[in-house]
Amino acid sequence: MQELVLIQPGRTLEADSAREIARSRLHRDFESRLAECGPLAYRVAQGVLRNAADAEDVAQEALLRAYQKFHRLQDPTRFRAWLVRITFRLALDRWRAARRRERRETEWAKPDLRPVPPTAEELIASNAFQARLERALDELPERFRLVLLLAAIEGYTLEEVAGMLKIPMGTVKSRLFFARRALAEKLR
Amino acid sequence: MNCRQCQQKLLHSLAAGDIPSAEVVAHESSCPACRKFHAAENSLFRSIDSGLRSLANQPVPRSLLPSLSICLDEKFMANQAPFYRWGFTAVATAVILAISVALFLRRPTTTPPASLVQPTSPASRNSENQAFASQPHQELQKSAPFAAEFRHTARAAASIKQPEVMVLAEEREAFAKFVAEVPDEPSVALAFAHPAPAATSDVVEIALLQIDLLEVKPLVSGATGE
Repeated sequence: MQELVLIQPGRTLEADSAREIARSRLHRDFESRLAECGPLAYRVAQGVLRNAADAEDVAQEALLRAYQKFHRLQDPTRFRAWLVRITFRLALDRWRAARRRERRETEWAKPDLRPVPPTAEELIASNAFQARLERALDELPERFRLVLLLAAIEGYTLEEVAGMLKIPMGTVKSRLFFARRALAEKLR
Repeated sequence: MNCRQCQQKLLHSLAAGDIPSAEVVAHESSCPACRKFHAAENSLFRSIDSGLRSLANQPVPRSLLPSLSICLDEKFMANQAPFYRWGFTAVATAVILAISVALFLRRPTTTPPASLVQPTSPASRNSENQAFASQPHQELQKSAPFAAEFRHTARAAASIKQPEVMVLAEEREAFAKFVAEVPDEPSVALAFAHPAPAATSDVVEIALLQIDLLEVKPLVSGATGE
């Protein structure tokens, strides 16, 4: 009787076990970064989407994507920058999709069912300014939005923001300047 | 410095998050309109900053990290699954191979010694070799694998049944030799046992060796072969 033994070409037990050890080490390494990077990803997503459930979804998706490609990351110190970009991209995609959906629904809705524009009294209300700020923020270019959001997150200096975005410190400052000035013009 | 220049510089310093220059401060001290403008703009920029801070520092849901850990563990296990599958396959193959080797080593490989007569039972040989008994003699001679198969079957039958054959004392050695040769040369032994045809031109028909008159009884410890 002939024995049939399944052998994968080019694979050895040593290579497999070495690969498994490396994978376990990467897994532990990634998990150790979760405590810091999870909230960062959530806050970036929340800054764009302004919806807790959506932000959580996006943060989770971004972290999972980062995990799947973690082994390809050449420089581990760039992890935060990498994660911020992934999260921001994903959040923007979702935000745009939501806006498209909203626009479609508005076009189909009857004119008398459309939301009434805010009155002066409503604007005086405490949350009115926040709503205007968020709208103004949505109208800013992406590079300005991301810098504003990251600079506003507590615990990160401008140098760290520059490191996350892989841009010079001067660029961060100039973007912040133009973004704040643009926001003020829209809100004035 | 006029009011327009002062307000532009003021806006620039507020947007940059810097302290207004001494020149602007000096102008404001003598210009109530610019002081009022400064207060309004300062309030606006403070509101923007506090709004951005509240937007960017929303409390992180408690479920975020645990659910992320679960997702990551699932991904990790899913990545590891192929390793476990191959590991299981390797272990199963090793077990099968070990059992096969053990069975192969325990198989009897030598002919029984002449002093211990334990021939194979004709009855068991009958049943086991029924299929090839009717084949022509020439085919049996040509087929080396067939002879090996026959030997293997006869030995297996002998090792399983272990019957005792009653043989006369003076024929014991000859019988042992004969029985020992049967598994090795099945076709010769079978032809020898069969009565020769009357005419030389007749085709020799090979039939299975049958010893009907032998008394077969189970082997009892201490019993002799006679």
